[in-house]
Amino acid sequence: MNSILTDFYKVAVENELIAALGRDKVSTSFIDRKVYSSDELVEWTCPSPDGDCDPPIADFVVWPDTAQDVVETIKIANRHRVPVIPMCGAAQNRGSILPLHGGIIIDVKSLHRIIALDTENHTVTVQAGVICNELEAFLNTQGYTMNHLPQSQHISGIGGFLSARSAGVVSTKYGKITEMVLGMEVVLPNGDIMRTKPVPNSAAGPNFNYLFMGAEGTLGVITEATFKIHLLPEARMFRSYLFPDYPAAVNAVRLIMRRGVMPAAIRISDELETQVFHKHKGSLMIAMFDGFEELCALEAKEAAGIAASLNAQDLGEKPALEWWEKKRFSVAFPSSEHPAFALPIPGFVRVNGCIDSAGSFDYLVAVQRKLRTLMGKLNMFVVSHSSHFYHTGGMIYPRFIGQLMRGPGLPAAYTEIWKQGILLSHELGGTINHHHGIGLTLARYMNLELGNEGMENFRKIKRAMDPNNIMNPGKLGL
Amino acid sequence: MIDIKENSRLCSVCPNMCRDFCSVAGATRHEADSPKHKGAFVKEVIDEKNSLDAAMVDYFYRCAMCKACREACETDLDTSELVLSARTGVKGDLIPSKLGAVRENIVSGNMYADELSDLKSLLKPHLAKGKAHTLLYFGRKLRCEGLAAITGILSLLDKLNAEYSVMETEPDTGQLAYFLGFAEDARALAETCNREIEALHPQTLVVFSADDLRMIKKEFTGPGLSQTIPVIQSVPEFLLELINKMKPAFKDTTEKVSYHDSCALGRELRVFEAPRELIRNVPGVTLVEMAFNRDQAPCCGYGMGLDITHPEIKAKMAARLRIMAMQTGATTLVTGCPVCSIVLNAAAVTDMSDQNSGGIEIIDIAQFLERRLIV
Repeated sequence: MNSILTDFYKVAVENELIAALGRDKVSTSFIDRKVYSSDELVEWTCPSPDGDCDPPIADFVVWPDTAQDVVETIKIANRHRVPVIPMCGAAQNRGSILPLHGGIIIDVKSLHRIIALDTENHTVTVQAGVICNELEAFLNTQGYTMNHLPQSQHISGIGGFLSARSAGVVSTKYGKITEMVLGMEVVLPNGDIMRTKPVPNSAAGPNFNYLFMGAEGTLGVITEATFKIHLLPEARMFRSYLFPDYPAAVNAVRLIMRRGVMPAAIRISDELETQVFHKHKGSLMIAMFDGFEELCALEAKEAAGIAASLNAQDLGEKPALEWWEKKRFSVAFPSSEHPAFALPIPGFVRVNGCIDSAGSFDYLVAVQRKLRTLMGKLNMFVVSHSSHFYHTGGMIYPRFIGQLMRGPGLPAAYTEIWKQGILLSHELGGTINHHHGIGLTLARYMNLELGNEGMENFRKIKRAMDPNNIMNPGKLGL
Repeated sequence: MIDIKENSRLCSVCPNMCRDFCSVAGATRHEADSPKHKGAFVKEVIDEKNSLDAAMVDYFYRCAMCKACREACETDLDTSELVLSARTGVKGDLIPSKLGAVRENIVSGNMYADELSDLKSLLKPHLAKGKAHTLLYFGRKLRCEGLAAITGILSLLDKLNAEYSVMETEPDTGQLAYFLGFAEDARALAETCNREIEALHPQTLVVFSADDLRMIKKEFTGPGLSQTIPVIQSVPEFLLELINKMKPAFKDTTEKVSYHDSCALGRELRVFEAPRELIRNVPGVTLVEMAFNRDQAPCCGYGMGLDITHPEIKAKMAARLRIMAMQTGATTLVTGCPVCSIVLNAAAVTDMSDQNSGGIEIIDIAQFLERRLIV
């Protein structure tokens, strides 16, 4: 896909960017443009007929130091109708930051100052490019934590979390990023700077934080935010149970939540994941309780009672502790033997994806069963786990993996896997996504999530705020 | 030998979890500096999708060779080895002119400015004559820029009545040539270095610069000193043995002190505990760890020649590390390698003006102990 800019025009825009920001904040080098033009939507999740994507490429990369640098960039982009794609970490795998029509990538990571730690009022204010690991390490040295600990925390940052409505491994107790943020600063598509108040709560009209969270950079660039923080827990207690099957484990979580017990983390593996990765027959639940010692002990005792009433086998703390210490931040690191990364059979391409969604407790059981059947028919291997729970339900994370034959039919075959998976989730009453975002991969299904009326109103908001359609065009089905 | 083709392929499909452990990418915040992308570009060069042009060559020198990426990688891929192979493959006109001049200086022994004139009189009483039981090796950079560090260690050793010798002139271990990709030059330098040190028949060799120690103990796999000298130690290891034996008294203090793990001393040579034990020897000291320490500690900026090829990156790396140290609330940052102290102190003047943090004293472990020793 080519840039919409002619070479002559590129030079003009480059000169304006350099004049506004300075030479060292603007790059047109091939290496930078190429690297910044992809997220984790790599070839094995986005195959073209020959199994190799030729991705679009940005015209410019910009590293702002201040929100004002972002303002200047957006003004130039508006003047010349150049696309602007904000990027912070690029840990996503939905193609959210792909520069479909070229344009300017703003790497928000360069906004990386920790602005204020307020231990009296339990808040931290940071620029949006601070990487989660950096923030958490800083807070830990001061005795605090944000309790937003996504698996990608080593590479994902604040702006990306907010833009994609991220969830961390202790979200069951502390919520998603959406429940942690108090106020934010956003550079709007017209170059104005808007701030929302960092207050505990409010009844003064709509909460504008929710306009920008999940918008994936289509409605502005988040440049700063204030979050709740918590004291580091005095104690953590780990428990593991083996249930006869996945529905029994989900039922246990339902009863735990109904009892008012609030584990920081619960993770349930379905029968296949339990068998393949944990070498047990049934459905493994691992739980972590945190807080002060007596609270952990009481919550663990209540959960144990519920597990026992459902005939679960108590496996002690080991599997849960091992997950916490070794696996909670681990991703599928490539190795020559890993089924997702090994060289494919000649003539085939490895494909891989995750159809994560959220819904009621009933939904979790139904979608786990039916998706397994569906993926089997499509010759895909699928394992699932559930690891973010709410009072009314939870999230399911089905990962599919397999090989498809190269050739003209490949893109359609790959698209069909996603389509059938998403339609199934929707028909059973779930969301089309829980915490990975929409980007390009799921853009075509956004009307399932918002409804035709909702989508039309979303488009009206987009047109009103961004009449030149410069902000991350082509994403979210807009 | 690593499989460069397969390793670079795996890097190209990896979710990039090494990026923010990388000393360079963590400091520059530039996505391209991530080791994953360097691996991916190595693959593209191998696959002839990209050529090794001037921009690509320069790109492969934006690496500190600190190997923090290897620690972040669950598959243990060592991207710096891919980068080193790319550097070694750069020949002829593709070698940047600046680097060509550096190479000439390394080979001719003129890499750094002339040795400090005060150093000669300082070392004179301790020059090795024929044989040396305990030989101190400072390294080229320290002999030219590290007068305070050398004065500090010699003063400490004298106060502890330690016996030691030094060389009048020191041969180059070849570490800089090696990591800049001049493998043959490095080998020649290392062999000469070994011969000259072996001629003094030391029983113990104490190496000040952690990167020289890394070269001697780990990287130069030819006929090395490790086979002929019974004990080759870093300064913290040597001092810990000495202090445990001599049991000197230190002044009481209420200082909060942090410690920086140098890449070579820590990640590569696994010397983590000796310097911490030495710091804790000073009564009243509270040792506070930086957010990223031990295997995750970022490089100070020296970066095996990065300070020469990309001084602007070095400045950002040093500034980042200083901020990390100041976030602990420590008033002193101790380094196990004196070169780290030199690099970090140089960054203080130019790069901290826009930061809110207060000052922090940065000194190497020998100076730290020497100043607190009760004579």
